[in-house]
Amino acid sequence: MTEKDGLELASELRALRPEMPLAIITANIQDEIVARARAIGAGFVAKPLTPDGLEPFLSGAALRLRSSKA
Amino acid sequence: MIPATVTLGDLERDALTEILNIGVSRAAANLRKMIDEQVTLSVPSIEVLSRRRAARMISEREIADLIAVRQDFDGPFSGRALLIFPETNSLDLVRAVTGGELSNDQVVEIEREALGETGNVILNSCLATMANMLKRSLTMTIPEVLRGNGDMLFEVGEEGAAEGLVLFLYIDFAVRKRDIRGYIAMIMGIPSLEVLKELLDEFIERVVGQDA
Repeated sequence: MTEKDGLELASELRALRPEMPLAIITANIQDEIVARARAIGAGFVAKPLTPDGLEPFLSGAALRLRSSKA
Repeated sequence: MIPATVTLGDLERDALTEILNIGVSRAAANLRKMIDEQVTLSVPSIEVLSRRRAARMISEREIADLIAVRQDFDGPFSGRALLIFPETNSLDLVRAVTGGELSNDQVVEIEREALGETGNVILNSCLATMANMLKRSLTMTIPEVLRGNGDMLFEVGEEGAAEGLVLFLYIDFAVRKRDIRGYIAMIMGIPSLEVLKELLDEFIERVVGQDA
């Protein structure tokens, strides 16, 4: 990605929609990338994407969306 | 003649081998998740040699044309990482990572994208593990799929590049049940090797203390 990377996009989306669940899904498992995802308030899911890897993010997101509606 | 500043000592070589072992094991575990078959790896080979010789080491072992996924990395040290395999294995690998659910036409259609993504996962596993263990961060380019021979993959044809020394790291991998095999290779120029040597010394000091 030459113009904008996923972390930049996530950060812009976070500013627009503070409550929206977001996850960074990447093969780049560097500690720095995990830390930046956390700082934005996004989940971190490592590639290759597996149901086990995605499940904690999806349950967290579902819980968050349910509680924000309540 | 290899300059003394870039000759790795025994401990530095062991440390680099260990870091690479951990990186490629993670890569193999990820590939295993993608294809659901056992992946075997060789012990990493670490050599300082000319770019031309590095290309020849691959070409001598492979008569067929090669296909490679390339990602360049940059940071305190920079270079190129390649996932290389004989072109004849390419569609088998795509079939393996797509779970054998696609028709032949579909496999051909998504070949480039599937190889790029497979390379992305494998190369990032190695590079990110190296970066984490050396406590530095690297930026990686998006994966690019190339076809050609060893000379082309290592850019031996570039003016003045052929005789330049590089650190050449490579590991053989194989998926025996599917008859797929290839290499994970990394090349770095001499300035990067000098930095890498310092980072390896820091790593050794963290692991064994200052007695080393």
